[in-house]
Amino acid sequence: MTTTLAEKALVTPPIDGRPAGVDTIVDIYKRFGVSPFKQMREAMALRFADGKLANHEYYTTGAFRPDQTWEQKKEYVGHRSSFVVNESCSPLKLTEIRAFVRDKVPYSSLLTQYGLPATETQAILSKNRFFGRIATLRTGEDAKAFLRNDARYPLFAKPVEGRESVGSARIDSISPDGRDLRLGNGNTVDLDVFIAEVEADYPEGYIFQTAIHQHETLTKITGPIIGTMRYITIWDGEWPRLLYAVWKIPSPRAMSDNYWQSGSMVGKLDRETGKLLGVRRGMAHNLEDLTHHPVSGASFEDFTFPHWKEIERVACDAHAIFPEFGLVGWDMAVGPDGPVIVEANDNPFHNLYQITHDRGVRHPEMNEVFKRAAARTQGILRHKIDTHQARVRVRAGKA
Amino acid sequence: MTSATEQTGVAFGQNHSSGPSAFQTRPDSRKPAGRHSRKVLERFALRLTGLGLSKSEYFAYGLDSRAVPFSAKRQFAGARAAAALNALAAPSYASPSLACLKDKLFCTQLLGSLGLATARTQALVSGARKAGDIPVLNDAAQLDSFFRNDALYPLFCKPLYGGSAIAPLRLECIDGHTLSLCNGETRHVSLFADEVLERCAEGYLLQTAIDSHPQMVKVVGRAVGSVRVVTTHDGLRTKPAYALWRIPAPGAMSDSLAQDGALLAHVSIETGQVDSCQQSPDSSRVADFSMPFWDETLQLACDAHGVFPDLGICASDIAIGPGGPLILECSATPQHGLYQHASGRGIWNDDLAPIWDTLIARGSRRGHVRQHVRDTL
Repeated sequence: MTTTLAEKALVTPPIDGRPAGVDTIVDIYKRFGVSPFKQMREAMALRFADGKLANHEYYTTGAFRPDQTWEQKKEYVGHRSSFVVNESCSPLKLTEIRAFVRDKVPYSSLLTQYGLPATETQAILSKNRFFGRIATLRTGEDAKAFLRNDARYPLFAKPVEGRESVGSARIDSISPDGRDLRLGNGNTVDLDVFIAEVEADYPEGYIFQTAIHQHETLTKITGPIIGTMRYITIWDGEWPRLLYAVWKIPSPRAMSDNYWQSGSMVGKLDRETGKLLGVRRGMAHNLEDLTHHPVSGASFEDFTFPHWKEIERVACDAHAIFPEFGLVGWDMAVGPDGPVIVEANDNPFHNLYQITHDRGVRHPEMNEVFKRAAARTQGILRHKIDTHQARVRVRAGKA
Repeated sequence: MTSATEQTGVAFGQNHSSGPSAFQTRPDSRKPAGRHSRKVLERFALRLTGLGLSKSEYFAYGLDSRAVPFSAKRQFAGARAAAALNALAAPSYASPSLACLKDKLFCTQLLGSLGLATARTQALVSGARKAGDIPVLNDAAQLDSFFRNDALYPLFCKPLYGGSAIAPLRLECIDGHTLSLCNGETRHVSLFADEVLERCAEGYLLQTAIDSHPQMVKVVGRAVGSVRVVTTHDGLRTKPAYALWRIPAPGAMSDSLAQDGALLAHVSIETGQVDSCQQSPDSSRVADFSMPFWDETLQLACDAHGVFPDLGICASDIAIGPGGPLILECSATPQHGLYQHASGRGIWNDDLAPIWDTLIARGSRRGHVRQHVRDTL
């Protein structure tokens, strides 16, 4: 099947933020016995509680479940509260560099310079930016020429600015006549149509990276589409450490691993060993536990992530480059030789933790960790302010 | 032989009364220039209708001279107006690269990773932090060991962040327990390590020192005098606006302008030739000097700025070595007063004004975008 421009070849954004529909409310009443009135009352109360859950987040986080106490329900976070937690650990005043961390190409390039494994960028479509030794494509025609003549396939393509895989595509190959691209989801797209879509929807720039070759034990389960790990590191003591990790298992028809794509799964991982402790699919009332991959049929039981200790070392070392951050969310792929950092998130959403762990992320033990991380970064901020003020006093001759 | 007291002394002088110091200090730019009451009216006029010149700036730029026409005086900008120009060219809400440029290590490592020539960092003195393959030293023993065993001399040492009260220095070699500075002084290595940690715990870079191009050595001596190329980005492309050469004082370790005898020269963008210099009896030594590798230097500055297109203005400090130019650091907040001192012209002169107007228009467009986003929200 060849994609036309109207159909969009690239991953399109999810429709987010709508209040739950009647079907959802009724289904939850039938399956969980939570009356619509109680759902409405709880959703409203949790909206104004510390977790600041939006209406749809009351459902997507699982806070509606009747087996949870009211105190436990208040531990769930929505997008707004997730930001509050992250900001407490990594204060905005201290982390001006976060905009740079989100800048995908320079950040990956810096990590590589520091000897850490990161994605390789082959070319960038950018009208106004210089990227040194990385090929810079100024026009759509340049991009077509690159894809026909110079690209090393498979590629992973994504916008310079963007998140949650919106606008991304895995490109497996180009047809011998140079007219069609074969995408990772099996579709074929006309090269002209593809570039026209990129130029129209992502004028700020578009990146062509070498697609990561996944470790064979992961490929056996998920196929060639990369399922990255969301690896959260926290710096609440002497050195960064793992807070929690989940495995984002891509939907069989997806080109990337974001959980909002229909059919995507998420796995809970043991912090010490990397052993897979369970896999879930869906959200809210449709959440289901899986024991086998729905396409490959491979069992999830007794699966342990390869290179677990090396993953921890790389993530913690990468975090330690930016000591001003108390908490960082890493998207890590695992290749044959070890981990590869795909992206760093200064403001990771903690819902995958909530889905896999059956509890809100602001539970008492976790709150203690967040408090320690916040105390450390506040100490750094205080020290910087004191140093600055002391210098100002010296210059003014008041010392 | 230097005594132990002198060696420990105050290597990091913080003001001019700090005794023997390996580190030069920042000049006190806030000193009033003295009483020149006969120019009061002109000063008031320039302050109110010009670009906000203060009294000390009025005299520092030599604007009390009758030889300078009033129209030319009005082209001079005060520090606050120059800072406002920088802020408009790189507004913090639209310039994520600002934070990257503040950290000299990130900036040079990033540019190096993209294939641009930069200074090589051998080690970083800092608290708990990682810098990839670059060793991070956070106690005296590690620093001592680095100086004795691992450092490749000569070393150039400077604070990680700008605005520090201390200036850079160059270490030539180590002999036993004694570090030799390039100005001939010596320091005991252990005591020096202690002092670095005490005064520079926030971050201190130990880099491979760069040798100047032989033609420059002939004129200004061995200390590297960096060339500052200020470039502008109009949203599509980068182009150089002006260039300055910071000429080290004779026998100095760095090109800090705080040192007596240091000079500042204006270099023609078109020819790479020194075309004016701060008024000084010593300035004849650099008159008409032609910069080696000039085209490469301008290209390097434009390439470095091209990595940060969100910044309307960028100053690249570049050392020109025997093999070509290398970037030392970049800044989005250059002090345009240096240009005014070196060239004897205000930054709002007929040559530069169109460039600043373009930048202001771009900044204004970005301001409109921000307002639009706010309105939308």
